Amino acid sequence: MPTFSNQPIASDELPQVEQQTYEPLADNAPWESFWSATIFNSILLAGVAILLVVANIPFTLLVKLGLLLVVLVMAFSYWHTFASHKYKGVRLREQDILFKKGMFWRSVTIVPFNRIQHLETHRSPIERKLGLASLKFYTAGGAGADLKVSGLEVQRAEQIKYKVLQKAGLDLADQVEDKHDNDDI
Amino acid sequence: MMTSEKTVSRAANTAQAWTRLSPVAIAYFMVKFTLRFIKEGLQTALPGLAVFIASVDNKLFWLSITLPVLLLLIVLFAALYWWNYKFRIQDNEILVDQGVFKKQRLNLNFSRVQNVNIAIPFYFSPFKLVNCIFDSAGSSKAEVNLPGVSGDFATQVRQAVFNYHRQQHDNSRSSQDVENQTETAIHDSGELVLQLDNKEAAKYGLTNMTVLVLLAAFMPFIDDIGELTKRYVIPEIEHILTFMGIELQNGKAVAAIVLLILVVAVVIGFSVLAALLRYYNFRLFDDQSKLTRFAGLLERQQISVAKHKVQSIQISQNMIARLLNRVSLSFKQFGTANFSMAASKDIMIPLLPPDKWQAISQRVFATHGGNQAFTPIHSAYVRRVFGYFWLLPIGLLCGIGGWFAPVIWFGLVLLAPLLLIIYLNYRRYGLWFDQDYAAVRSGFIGQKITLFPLYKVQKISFSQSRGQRRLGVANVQIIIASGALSLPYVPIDSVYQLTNRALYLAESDPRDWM
Repeated sequence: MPTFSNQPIASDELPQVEQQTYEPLADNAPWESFWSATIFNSILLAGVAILLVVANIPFTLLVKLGLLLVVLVMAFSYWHTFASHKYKGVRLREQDILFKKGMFWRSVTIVPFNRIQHLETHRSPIERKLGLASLKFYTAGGAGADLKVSGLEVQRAEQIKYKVLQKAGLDLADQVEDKHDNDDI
Repeated sequence: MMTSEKTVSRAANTAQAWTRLSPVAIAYFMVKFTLRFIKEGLQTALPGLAVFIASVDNKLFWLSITLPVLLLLIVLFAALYWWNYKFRIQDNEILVDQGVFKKQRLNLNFSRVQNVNIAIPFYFSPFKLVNCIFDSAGSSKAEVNLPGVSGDFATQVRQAVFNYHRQQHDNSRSSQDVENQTETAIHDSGELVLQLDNKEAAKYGLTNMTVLVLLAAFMPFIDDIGELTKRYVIPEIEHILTFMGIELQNGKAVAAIVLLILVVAVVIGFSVLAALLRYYNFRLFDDQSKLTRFAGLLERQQISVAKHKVQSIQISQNMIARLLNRVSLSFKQFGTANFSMAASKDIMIPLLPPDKWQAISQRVFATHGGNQAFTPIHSAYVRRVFGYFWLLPIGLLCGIGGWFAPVIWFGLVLLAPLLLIIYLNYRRYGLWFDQDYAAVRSGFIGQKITLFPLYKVQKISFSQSRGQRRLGVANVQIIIASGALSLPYVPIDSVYQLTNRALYLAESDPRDWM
C-alpha cells in the first residue's frame, strides 16, 4: 500500500504568481496593431470624407471640432499601442501559462494546462507579413474563459503550442504520478 | 441469459426497426412548439408586430383571427412532426429521424449518454407514457428526446445504456454514473434529504416575479386596454363599490386603484401557480454519488446530477425571499452560464430556511465551511465608482447642458439614488476562502453567494488601475465551468493567496473537475 501523506502546505510554500518575471513579446508586435488600426482608420476617415462631400455637410466649427477629436483619439491610440508594449509579457511554467498586459489597467491571466480544452494558432495577413502569430487557449466556462496571446514570433508561438500540448497530454496520462512543481521553465 | 439481459434484448428487438412514437406525443410537440414560438418566434416577428401596432386600427379584431390560425398551424405542424419522427436503437446507438421541411438524422452513441432522465407530463399519465431524455452533458444541444414511449421501454433502454457502459468501462466513473441512474426506478432513490411543503413552492412564486416580463407583452396594446377598462371595467367596479355601500367622492380614481390591485393580484397568482406546477411535491434524494430531484404537478420530472459534476452551488436570496426568511439553492453544472437549455439540468431547491442550506450543500461539497464571515471589499469602491462613472459624466452633462437649458440641472437629482445603489452593492460584495473552497457574494438588496471548490477553477485573472495599485486592491475574475465570478476592489494580498491556492489545487488535485 503506498504511503499516504497529507501534510498541510503553508501559503508561502506555494508557487507565487506575484513574483513571476515575464518574457516580452516580439519587438515588432506593436506594428501589427499599428497597421491594423491604420487600415481601419483609413476606411473610417475615407467614409467620413465621402459622407461630408456627398451629403454636402458644411465644414462648420462643430464638424472641425468633431474631426479634431477623432484625430486626437487616433493619435492617442497609436501612442498607446507602442507605449504599452513593454507592459506585455508571457510566462510558461511547468503547469500553467501566465499573460500580463496593460499600461493603465494592468492585468494578469493564468490558465492551468490541464484546463485547456484546445488550442488554436491565428495568423492574420499582417501577422504573416511581420512573422508573428497569436495563440488562443480555450477552456470550459464560455467565451470569457478563453485566453489570447498575440504578438509572438512564429517560432516561439509554435514552441509554446508544442509545449502546452505536450504538458496537457502528459498531465492527462500521468497525473497520478506527477508531483506538483511549478518552477519557471 | 440473465433476466436483465433478456429485457434489454427485448427492448432492443422492439426498437431495432424504425418505430413511431405514440400519437399522444402530438400533444407534447404542440406544447413544445408553442413554447418555442413564444420564446423565439416573437423575436423574429417583432418588425411585423411593430408595423401592426403602429398602423393597424382594430388590433383586437385582427388578433382574434390571427391567434386561432396560429393555433391551427401549430396543431398541423405538430401532427406532421410526429408523422416524420421515427427512432430506432441499433448497435448501441440511438438514431432519430426528425423534421418536416428540414430532415435531420440524430445519432447518439450510448458512450456519450451522461444521464437518462424521465419526465411524465400529465397528458401522458393516463396512457402510462413518459418522455425519455438522453442527456449528453457539456453541449448546448444536449438532449435526444423520445416523448410518448412506455415507462417499461424507457427503463429497458436505460438498462441497455448501463450495460453498454459496464462492458466498456468496468470501473470507470461514467459507468458508475449510469449504473446509479439505472438502479433508480422512475420513483424514489437513495436517502430522502428534503421534502418541501407545497406552501414553500407557492412562496417561491411570490419571490420569483419573472412573470412580470409577460406584462411587457401587453404594452403595445396599452391604449386599447385603457379604453376598454375606462368604458367597461371601471364603471362596473364603481357599481360594485356603491352596491357594497361604499360611497366615494372620487369613485373613478378608487375604481382604478382597485383594478390595479386586482391586476397585481392576478399577476402574483400566475407566478404562484407557475411555481406550484414546477415544484409540486418537491423531493430531493441522495444515494451517495448523485442527487435526484422529483417535482412537478402536470409534468412529473426527475432530474439527476452526479455530485462530481457539480461545479458550484449558488445560494440566492432576493428582496422578497429576505422578508420571508428563505433562500434558494442551485447545484450548477458545466455550461449552465452559457446555455439556457442546460440551465434546466441544474437541481434547484426553490426555497428553504437559511439554516438548512449548509447541511444540504455539504452533501456535495463535503468539507466546506461556507457560512463563515466574508471579507468586504475596499470602501474606495463607492467613491471611485460613483465619482468616475456617475458624478463626473452626469455633472459634465448637466453643466454643459444646463448652460443651454437650465432644466437639465435637475438631472443631478439622479445622483442620490445612484449613490445609494452603489453603496448597497458595496455592502454586499464579499470574498471568503479556505484551503479547499471559496465563495463570492454579491447583490443589491438581496444577495447571491456562489460556493465552489478551488480545484475546479478553469482560469483566474486580476487587474488593477493606477489608483487601485496605490490602494493595494485589485479586481479579480475567477472562471469556473458554470460561469464567471467577479469581485472588485479586493485586497491584493487576498487576491494573491486565493490565486496561488486555486492554481495549486487545480494543477495538482487528481480529481477530475468534471
